[in-house]
Amino acid sequence: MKGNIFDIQRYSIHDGKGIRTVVFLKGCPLRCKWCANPESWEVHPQLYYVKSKCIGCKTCVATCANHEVEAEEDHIKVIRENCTGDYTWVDNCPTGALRVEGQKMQAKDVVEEVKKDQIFYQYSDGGVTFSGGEPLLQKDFIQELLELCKQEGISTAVETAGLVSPEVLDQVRPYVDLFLYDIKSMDPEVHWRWTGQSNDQILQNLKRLAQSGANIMVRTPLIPGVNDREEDINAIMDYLNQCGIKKYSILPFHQYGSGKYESLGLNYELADLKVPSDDYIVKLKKQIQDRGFTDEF
Amino acid sequence: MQEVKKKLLPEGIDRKTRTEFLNQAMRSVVPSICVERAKIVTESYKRTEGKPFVMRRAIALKDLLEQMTIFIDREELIVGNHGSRPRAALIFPEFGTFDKKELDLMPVRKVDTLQISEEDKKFLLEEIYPYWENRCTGNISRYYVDEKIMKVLDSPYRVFNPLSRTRSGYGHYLPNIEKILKVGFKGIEEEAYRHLENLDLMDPELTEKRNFYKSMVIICEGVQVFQHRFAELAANMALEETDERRRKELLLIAENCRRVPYEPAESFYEALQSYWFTILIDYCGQNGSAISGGRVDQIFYPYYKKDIESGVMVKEEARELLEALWVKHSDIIKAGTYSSAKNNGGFATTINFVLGGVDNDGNDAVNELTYLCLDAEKSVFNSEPNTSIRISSKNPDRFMKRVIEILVEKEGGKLPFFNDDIIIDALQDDDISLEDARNYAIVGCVEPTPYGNTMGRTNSCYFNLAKCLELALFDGKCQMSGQQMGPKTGKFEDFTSFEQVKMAYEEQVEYFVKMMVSSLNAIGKLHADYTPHIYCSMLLDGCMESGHDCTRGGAKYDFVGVQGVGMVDVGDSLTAIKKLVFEEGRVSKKDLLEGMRTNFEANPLLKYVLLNKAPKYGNDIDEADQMVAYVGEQYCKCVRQYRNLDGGNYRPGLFCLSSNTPLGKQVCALPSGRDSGTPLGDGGVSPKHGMDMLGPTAAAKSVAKVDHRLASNGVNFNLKFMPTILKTDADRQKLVDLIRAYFSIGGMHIQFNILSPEKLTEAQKHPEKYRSLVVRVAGYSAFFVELDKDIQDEIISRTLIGA
Repeated sequence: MKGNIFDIQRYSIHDGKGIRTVVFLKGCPLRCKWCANPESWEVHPQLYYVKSKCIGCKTCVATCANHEVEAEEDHIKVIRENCTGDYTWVDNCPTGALRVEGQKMQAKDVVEEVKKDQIFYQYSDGGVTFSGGEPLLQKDFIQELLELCKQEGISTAVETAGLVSPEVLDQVRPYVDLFLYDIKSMDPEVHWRWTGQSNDQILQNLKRLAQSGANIMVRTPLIPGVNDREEDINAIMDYLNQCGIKKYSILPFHQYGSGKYESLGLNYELADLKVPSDDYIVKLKKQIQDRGFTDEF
Repeated sequence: MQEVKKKLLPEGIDRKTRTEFLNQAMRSVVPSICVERAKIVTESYKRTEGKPFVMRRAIALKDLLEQMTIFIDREELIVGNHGSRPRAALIFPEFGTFDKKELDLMPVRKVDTLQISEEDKKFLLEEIYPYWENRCTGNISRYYVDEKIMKVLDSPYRVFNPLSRTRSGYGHYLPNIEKILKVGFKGIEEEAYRHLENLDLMDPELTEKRNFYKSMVIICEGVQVFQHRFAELAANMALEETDERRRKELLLIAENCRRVPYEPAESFYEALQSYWFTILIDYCGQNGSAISGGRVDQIFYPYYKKDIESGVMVKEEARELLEALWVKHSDIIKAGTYSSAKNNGGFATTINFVLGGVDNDGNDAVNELTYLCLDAEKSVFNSEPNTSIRISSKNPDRFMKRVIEILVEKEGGKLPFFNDDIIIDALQDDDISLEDARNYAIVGCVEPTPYGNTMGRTNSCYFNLAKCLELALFDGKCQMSGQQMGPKTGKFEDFTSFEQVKMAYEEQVEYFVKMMVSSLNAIGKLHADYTPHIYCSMLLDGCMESGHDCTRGGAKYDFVGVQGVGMVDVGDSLTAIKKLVFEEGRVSKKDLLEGMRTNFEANPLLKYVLLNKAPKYGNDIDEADQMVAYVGEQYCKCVRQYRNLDGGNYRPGLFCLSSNTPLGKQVCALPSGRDSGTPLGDGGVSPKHGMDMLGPTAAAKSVAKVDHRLASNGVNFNLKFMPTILKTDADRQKLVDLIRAYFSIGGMHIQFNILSPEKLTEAQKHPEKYRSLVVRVAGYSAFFVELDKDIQDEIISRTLIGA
């Protein structure tokens, strides 16, 4: 079957064991304000405009289907409400400044791409990692992808935020060698405010998944002023202990995704947020280690 | 650090202090021209008029070794100077002369800047060069290279230019130092005498052989005088030395120089000294570069093991000696013309060392000395020696990780990896025995060559493939000059199928390859007649036995290496033509030609369409990769048809050093979207800068689709990494795995540049702060600040993976 994906990234070395290919699936129920992949939010393809690459040739203005773009001085403006889902005209852009983020692909074609680096997985004990967005949102598609990868002998990992029905986790679990499971905060209110969703289901799912014997590494994006106090991290670790999970690591906040918001016509609220200091990260990592957790996949 | 008790050297200075002192002293030298050699050799040649050239060469070298200024610098342990000052380039008037303009340019030019006094300039122009005007090989070459070819070479936009080869000796070989360590020049001399005694009076080659062996004897005498002069100098300096520690060191030096290289080496220290004299003498004798050291961790190992086991030396002392030797390699620099410096820029003497690989039985050859050599490399880390790493599936990960650690720490791209498993096969395809193939080393930058027995001429010529494509699309007419340069292979407008484009291109390549081969054969004859390489022949197995100089096919193996440049530009251009013109009709033939002719001036959008709407090599897309593979194969197969005068095979390579920049200046805009006059793709088989968008695994897979075995003269794949993705041991393990996987699918070479672009931009602004920054440019390394601005810019613009 076909599903929506927005990127296939090879030589990813921090998303599981060895050398990996990360397949990014589109669509996510959360709206974390620090998200570095806002193009993953919507399931459907979106127009993506990189102003710095635009040479102002206006080819798109002349050839677009439904007045989706209009000229503005030496560049263009995207009128998102005019987008109909027909993006065939976007290929006319000669520089790639205007492109479509996301495409529908057959599961078998995705796996063909993944297979291209199989020799590197063999030498490095690597494999594929499905990420997003929330890859479990397209549940039949991910199921097919996982099954196909397993048939090819490719090791699999799934990066999830955990906000799915427990049945989906049950369904994919036998085909997943490693879950990279995000826990943002134990505090329900903080979770609501910064992700737009409750953490209730997420936490329950984690416990259930752990009890089923799945191989899980929990990860927390460390966001200054949101969840970066030692007590925030301690609360998460307490819960992991309850679940019997031994693998835990933190992912420090960064600003690499900030430019994407403008390209998608979205508003980014954390532009002025400073990244955590290296010293603090080192200290926190040490504390995590001292509590008996490992950050090795 | 814990003080190590010394056994061989006197106490009083530690390794680190000495190495830093020696390295600092070497790096702070302002390179200059030394005219002393020109004077001695000219006087010698004037005296020997009328004698056979082979003997004149030998006498000139002997005269040089007897008369040249010698000195021993402070804290040196390995002695032997190249010029009359450190880092001084010698003048070789018997090969070629510089005109006033070229000499005036030397101190002010941007690449390989060399100081020269007005007095020395005057001396060369008035006292030296007039004698050589009609006598140097550079000028005699006009009687050798065919007139029709000379006419083609007159154009500044020519497809190839072999003429710089007439202005220097061949260099580019691996002297059999192992033999010198075992038998000394004494052994060579005895062999020569034996052959002289046994000459057959009825041998039709009697005269040639007799003069050849006699010349060898003359040189052996010169070698002995040379080393004894150093022995005497050291002993005299010891007499006057007030520092007891240094006095003892000078006495050790004197002792070494009394014995080697004439006598066999008995200790590790002697072995290193013997090596240095042996290689130094050839650098003084012939104006060739890339005379390389070979497998130093194997060659010196028996001496190391013996001294460590018998307790006469400790490991730390071995490292101290190695580092002293390592520093010496920066002493040898060459003076080329500005245009040749631009091709090879950055004082690239390229004395290659190789570490690792397999032994004669095909087993892991990494030993304790291998790691010590890596330590020495790390401590000194200059562009010379150009240290390379041989990797077989038999070598341990630990060895590779150690290399990567050094690269990350030094942030400079050196230490390329070579794939033993592929290279040993490829060499056997060239009719080299398994034993000799397993004992290969690297010459110069990337050229795999059997050790001690091969006249490889590995860098004979660059061949501009991109220019051939330009000519193919314009019916043989050069778009830079308007001249009809190549054969008329048809008008692109009239072509009805893509196959016709390929046929026209192939015809252009074949036409010019033939010309290149003819001119190189003529140059081979020129050197054989006027500048036989006797000293070099003494160090190459086969010459002694056959009685033939290595310029006359005397060595066991004989090759001519010629490099195709621009393979990727041509491949990407052909893909764009096939897809956008013939398949999709998105670009018209007329528009394409117009864009190429005018550098896309009238139609700037066309350039973006060409750049972005056709797939590019380096992304693991078969459509693009197979086209590049075809271009590489076609060139290699075309070259492989030919033999030189002595039956030696022409061996193709796919690498370019920095020639992709000057060669790019000769080519108009291309269908790949490349602008007129801009650099061609760097590093032979590397994806074009900025075109490999899918990371190192995709790039590596694309690269491995080109048949590297065909290009047995060497390929070059540069991959740039940010240090940020190699921080942890796990990250570095992944790079090891990447290399292993790439090698398993046919990759022959991979070179990492691990650095930040900010760093390079900063280095352009403040060269004085970055004197020690070593950068790898397409297959060799150089001091970044010594490179041309164009090339610096090019390095900065190359794709950054993991940014």
